[in-house]
Amino acid sequence: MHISSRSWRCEIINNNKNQKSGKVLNRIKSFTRSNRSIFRILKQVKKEFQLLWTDKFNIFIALIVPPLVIAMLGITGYIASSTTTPINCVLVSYDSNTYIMENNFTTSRLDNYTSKYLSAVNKSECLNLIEFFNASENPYSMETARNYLIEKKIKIIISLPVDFSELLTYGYPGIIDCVVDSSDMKEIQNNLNAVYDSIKIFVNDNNLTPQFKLKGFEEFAIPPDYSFRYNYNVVITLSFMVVGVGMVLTILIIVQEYPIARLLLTPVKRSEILLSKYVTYTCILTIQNISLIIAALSFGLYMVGSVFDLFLALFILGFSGLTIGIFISTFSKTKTQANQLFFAAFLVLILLSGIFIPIDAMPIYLQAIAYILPLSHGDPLIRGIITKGKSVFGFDFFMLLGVIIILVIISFIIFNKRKYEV
Amino acid sequence: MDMVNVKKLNVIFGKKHIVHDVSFTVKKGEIIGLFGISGAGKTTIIRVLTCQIDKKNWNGEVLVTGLSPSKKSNHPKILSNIGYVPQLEELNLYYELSPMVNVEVFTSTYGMDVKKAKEVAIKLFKILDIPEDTWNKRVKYMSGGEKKRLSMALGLIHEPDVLFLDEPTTFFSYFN
Repeated sequence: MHISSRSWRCEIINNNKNQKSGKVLNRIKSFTRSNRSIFRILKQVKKEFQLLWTDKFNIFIALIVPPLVIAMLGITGYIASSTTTPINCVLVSYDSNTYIMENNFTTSRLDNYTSKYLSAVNKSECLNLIEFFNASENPYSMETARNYLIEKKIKIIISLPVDFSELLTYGYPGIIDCVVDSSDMKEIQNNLNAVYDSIKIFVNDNNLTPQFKLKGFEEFAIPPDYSFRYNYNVVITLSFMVVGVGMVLTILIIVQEYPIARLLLTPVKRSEILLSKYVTYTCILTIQNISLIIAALSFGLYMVGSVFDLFLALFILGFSGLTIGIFISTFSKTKTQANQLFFAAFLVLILLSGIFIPIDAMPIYLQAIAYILPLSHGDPLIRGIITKGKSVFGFDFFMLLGVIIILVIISFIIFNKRKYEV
Repeated sequence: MDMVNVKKLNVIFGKKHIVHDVSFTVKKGEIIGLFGISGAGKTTIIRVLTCQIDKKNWNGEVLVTGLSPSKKSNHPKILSNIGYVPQLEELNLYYELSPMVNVEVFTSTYGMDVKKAKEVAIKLFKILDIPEDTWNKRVKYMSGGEKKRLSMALGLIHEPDVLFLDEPTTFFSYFN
């Protein structure tokens, strides 16, 4: 069979045309396919919002509780900073007992500074003297004072040693012993500060020499017209709250939604269902973060860094909570299992967050776990922005981002393999 | 054209051989029923036909609307061509949403326009005798029979070529 070169050329041109039109058709098909996919995702997002709207309690937890907590912190912080609560104490004086000088073995019973220090304690607004014991008259003074400490009647025993007046009289610096209730670690410094206040009054009233003046050089401190308590509490609360609420909101969204099984018998894809859940709860998270920042600032949060950085930090922390919650939900077979997993995961998150035990003080294997947990990065991230004016983009941010990406990928894989049968 | 064509279908889960050499065909317009004792594998056959069981667990020749569920790429097309009414309503309906919103949720997956979907839904609701005052209330407040009929409406809403009904008479009263 003879085929002319012209007919060959025609065929090639036609083939090219067919190929081109095929490509165009494929492009149109893929465009309509992606359009359909977007349409389905949007409809699924709408469904998620409708489901969320039917559960008013969840909305209350997500959007009302967090700013309310911040408001409560603001109010209590304001009250706490405007009033000083004096710390209960007793004073035990051994000063009237006989003191034997070390150099010439002569005895001395000087106690002229005891009453002066007693009046300084009475003057101090930080201390509330419950009882004064003179150990020369009552040999069981210290035992009684210790019993008070055990019974929580007092928080400090201030003890004047036998050579208290002697040392001050001869121009030596005096020594005051302090027994502080150390069962509450946070209060130790507060209790000592109160004793220091009484010493300041004592030194000033009696023109004691040498007088020591402490000059502090504070960095990143909260200015006096702001409440340091509120700032401190907000930093801790914000990270715990956004991660916790994110988890609470999402731990049941897959395990509890039984009709997913039926939805999967329609052309909707598993990835579209999961993506719509991420989109919905990200919107809720955004609203929550904005309301949290407004609440925190309106109650007098002292902030050096930018508001946008704080928003991004809260967002990424909250999103890590969402991803953990969704991961638990895709992983669990029943609601009970999801709830138990949530409890266990949140406990680990809190214990290894570095708030109770510094991460660097943990064994190396626990440090490795702690560094991949979101809460460990929450406190330094938020504190850095609020008190030091740091940028959000740093080690903690990128670490969180990495953890989130891994968890999102794993949750998609698990959800794609999850068994659904109707 | 055969709507469903099953030849020598065997379903095996581990050591359990659930369906043994089942063959049947369903032509367009035909209604067939599967009868058997509990655990005979009726629902399992429907699950194979509705792309719910992995190919590794079954063998034989199966065609639904001319497409084989053995190929994953065929699943979206098969699922677009079929309707399904499952045995349990809690797996089929969003109890916290109204019937109309349920219609919107399920029809959107087929890319149906909301207006058209609602028009079809109203027709089906009337045919299936679903009281009008329940259309915009939460599904959880409907009776068992009403839920079943709503389930059927959702199975039919996209005008499928084949409708699979699993235990369709549960909760139905004599009058329905």
